[in-house]
Amino acid sequence: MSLSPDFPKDGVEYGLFDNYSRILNDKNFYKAFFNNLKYTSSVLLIVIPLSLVLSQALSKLKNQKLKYFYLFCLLLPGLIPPSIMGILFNLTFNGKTGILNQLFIIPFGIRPIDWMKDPNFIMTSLVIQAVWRWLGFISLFMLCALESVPKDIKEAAAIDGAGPLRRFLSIELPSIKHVIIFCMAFLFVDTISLFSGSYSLLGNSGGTANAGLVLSNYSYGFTSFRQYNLASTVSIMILPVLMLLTGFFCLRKEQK
Amino acid sequence: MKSIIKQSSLYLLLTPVLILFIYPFLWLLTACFKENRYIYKPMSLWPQSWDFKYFSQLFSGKDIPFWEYWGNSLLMTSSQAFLAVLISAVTAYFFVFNQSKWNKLLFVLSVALILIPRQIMIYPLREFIFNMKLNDNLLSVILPGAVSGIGIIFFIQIYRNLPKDYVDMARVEGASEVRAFFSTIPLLISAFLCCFMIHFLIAWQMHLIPLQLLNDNQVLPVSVSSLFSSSMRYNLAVVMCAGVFCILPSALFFTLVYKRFRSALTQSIS
Repeated sequence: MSLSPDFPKDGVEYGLFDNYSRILNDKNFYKAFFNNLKYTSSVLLIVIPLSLVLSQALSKLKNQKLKYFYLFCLLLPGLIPPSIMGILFNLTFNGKTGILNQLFIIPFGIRPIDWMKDPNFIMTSLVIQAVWRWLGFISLFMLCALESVPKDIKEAAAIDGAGPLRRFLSIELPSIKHVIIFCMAFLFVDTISLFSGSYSLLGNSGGTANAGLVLSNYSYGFTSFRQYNLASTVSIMILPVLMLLTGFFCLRKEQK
Repeated sequence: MKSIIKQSSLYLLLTPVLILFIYPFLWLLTACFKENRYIYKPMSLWPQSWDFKYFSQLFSGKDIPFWEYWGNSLLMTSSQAFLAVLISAVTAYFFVFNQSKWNKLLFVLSVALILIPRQIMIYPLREFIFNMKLNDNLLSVILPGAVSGIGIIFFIQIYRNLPKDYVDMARVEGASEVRAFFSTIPLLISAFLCCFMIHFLIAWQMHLIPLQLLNDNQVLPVSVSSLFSSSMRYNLAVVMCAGVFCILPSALFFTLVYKRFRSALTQSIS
């Protein structure tokens, strides 16, 4: 489908790769691509370290019931459909009255930020949304991994005089490495295919100056003009990246 | 003494995080009782009065045929999750207990299924569904999610942990493969529930597929979001009520399975 013209007419010649060159010449494609890259990398860079810290803190809690209560509350955001999250965040980011401005910006005497209209901050608000959503689940994975690290190794290291940081770096981190990689792959796929979050928060254009435009929104935009061929062209162009990732992931599995 | 200080400092650290995560939910809940002009004031959380008129307005079906959409969503998600669990369990059973040369290919394919997002396949899928004349039919939303890579990988892990002797025993006793498969289910009930929950969540969160394949937004989460963005002349509280009902099934279900989910996760990771 990615090779066929949108509305075929008789007597007009179509090149085989016309759609590809059309997409490659489109400024918005690059915009969407780099936005997506920015989004993906910042979500990964924020969520993974934060969830490591959180799961460390949680695993130190003595009261088991409270620990799992905390974890359950952290998990709640992952349960709600992104479309509802769009509504919640519409309220959170909304103009001057949003919670983010009321709690964190105005009390410090900074000018309130219009999270959804200011092109410099749209991406930030998308990232905040993703972090809020996934932090709990990733922490749960990390916590389960941390708890399955054998206790005697840690105790032996403590007796040998290794401090908490040392123990974390040389015992816990290597033994939960595969979980971290799994989480990264999971987040990567989820963020590459981000649709619902930005669609319900910003509508299809990705907000002012297309600052929140991501690839799937970009490709969805074609469907309103029934240009399904262009839309599938975009899909095919994302595919190689994911194929590479798949290969990488499979290889790692085989090695184990 | 030292440990008490340490524990309490941990709680001090964690409680703000907790509040940050819970606050929007509280807000959503209380917004069900507020008028439009109070909703956008996040600092005053408590509503003026506990009046259920917005709920009854939602149930009356004036804005959206609520019960129909909700029923549709529930039917769609649970049948998709059921199919996904069944298919992936059978596949994984075959994969683990019958060595064949296709195993490796199957494994790579299922990993690819995880890693290639549905959003990419949506346009060919749309063409496919339209050719089968299934558009605007709930089946069109159920079928795409019925084969799941995550499920296959998950069950492969689970069946590998199951002692092979059980299945061999069943075979020696003369049970057919189908019978043997079903006889393993009671041993793995926890894993089945977890997998069902994961797929329930995934299906409940679908947005693009229903948006593309169903004509009048027949699934609740999607229709709520379009209701919210379409205009401001509705009572926002009604939208909030609908939102609560969007969260309710998955949250309830998750609460039920939470403990099993945790233990299954710990097992499968270690």
